[in-house]
Amino acid sequence: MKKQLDILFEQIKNDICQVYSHRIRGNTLEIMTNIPTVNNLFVSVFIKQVDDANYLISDGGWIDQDYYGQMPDYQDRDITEHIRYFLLNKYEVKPEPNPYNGDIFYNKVVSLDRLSSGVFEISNFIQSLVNAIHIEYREQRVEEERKRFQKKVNDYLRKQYSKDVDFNYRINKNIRFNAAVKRQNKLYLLNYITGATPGYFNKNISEATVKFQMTKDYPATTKIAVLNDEVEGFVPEKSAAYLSFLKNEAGADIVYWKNKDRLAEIID
Amino acid sequence: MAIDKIALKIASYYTEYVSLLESPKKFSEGLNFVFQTVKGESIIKKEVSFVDGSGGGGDMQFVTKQRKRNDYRILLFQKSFIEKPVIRFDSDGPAHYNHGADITNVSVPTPHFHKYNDQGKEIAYLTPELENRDYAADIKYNVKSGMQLFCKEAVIMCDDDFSIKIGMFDADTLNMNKATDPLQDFY
Repeated sequence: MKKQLDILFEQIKNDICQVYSHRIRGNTLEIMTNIPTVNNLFVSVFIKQVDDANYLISDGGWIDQDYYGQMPDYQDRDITEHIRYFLLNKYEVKPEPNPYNGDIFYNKVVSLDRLSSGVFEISNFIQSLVNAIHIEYREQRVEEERKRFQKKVNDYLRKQYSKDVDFNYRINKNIRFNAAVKRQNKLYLLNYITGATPGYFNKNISEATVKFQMTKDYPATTKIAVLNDEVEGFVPEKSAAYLSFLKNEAGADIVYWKNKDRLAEIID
Repeated sequence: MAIDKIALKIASYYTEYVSLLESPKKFSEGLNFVFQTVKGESIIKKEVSFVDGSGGGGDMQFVTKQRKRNDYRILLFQKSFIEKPVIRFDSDGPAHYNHGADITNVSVPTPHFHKYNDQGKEIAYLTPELENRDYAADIKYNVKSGMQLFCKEAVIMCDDDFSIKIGMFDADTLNMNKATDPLQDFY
């Protein structure tokens, strides 16, 4: 019996190891691991020798480039940023920007004797991060409302400004806006504000305020808050103080969605 | 947990789904393909209809999208049926995890196709062409060859040699990096 079970184990081990495969990409080795994500992808890690003794193990920029599904704007989401921070520390992974295009690479440099365990660590890091991101933490209707409004405004801007508009625009490493329109050396930064409840609505206004304040020193930029005045969560008297702060302190022009034609007056 | 509406729809109308994939189709407006550049991505959208004349009116759409990140996707939509593509080709990216398949088919590397099985589950698979390593390596950066294979797989009728014309809005955008080494400019 023991022998049979040993054989069984060997078979399973061999089978599962077979799921591992590799590809050579230039000077880089890609390992397609057998570590799956909740959205049915297998984690790939990339290995490159950096000097005589050390190897770089990396996600190859794939997380940030949405190869594992759409990743959120971390700054916009307390929970996901918290998880990311936790995982970076736990696995001692270093996020590094690609100097050419600003993508984030998640890296670890190890010596040869630590290479295999490093591959295991980075794979687990990628899996944990991707899985954590794909679980819904917020109430579904809150998330749906945010997506619905975002799609509505994106569609409108795409129609109006086609090639001049960039979505999910990253002005620097830490701050992203829902959209940016570039016209004649001027940059118009747009942040959308909506919310299924007055609480979420005001939280959204606060986030927009902080982001606009943080970019106040950028020259030739116009700050526009596009506000959903058709949603239940918008109760003017409950948001009045927040909105006046957004306007007066952060210098944002507030465009109400029902009156969206005003966008054309601001952006020309 | 939200119910997977697409899985339910495919599972309930699986015969119709298979027939949609297998019925001969054609490009409604000829074989002149022009890539448009939008935010550094090159994209082609072409209306597709059934050869027997039904299914026109913009309902069925062929899309090729070359992304900034050195890969491309080819998709066939019929949005009146499901929101997501009915069949899809990925040139690069992570391997797909086919749940419950036998161990040799659990991991399907790119380039690969995606479609749905009779339970409405999305599965990845390789055609015999893609099982050839050299062919698979070439198709990663050869968009035309990808389009050709896709048309064969999705039964979109073209000339035998797929003598399509690809016009380029911006010729550079299709100049994909043959090495596809994500760490090439790094370290």
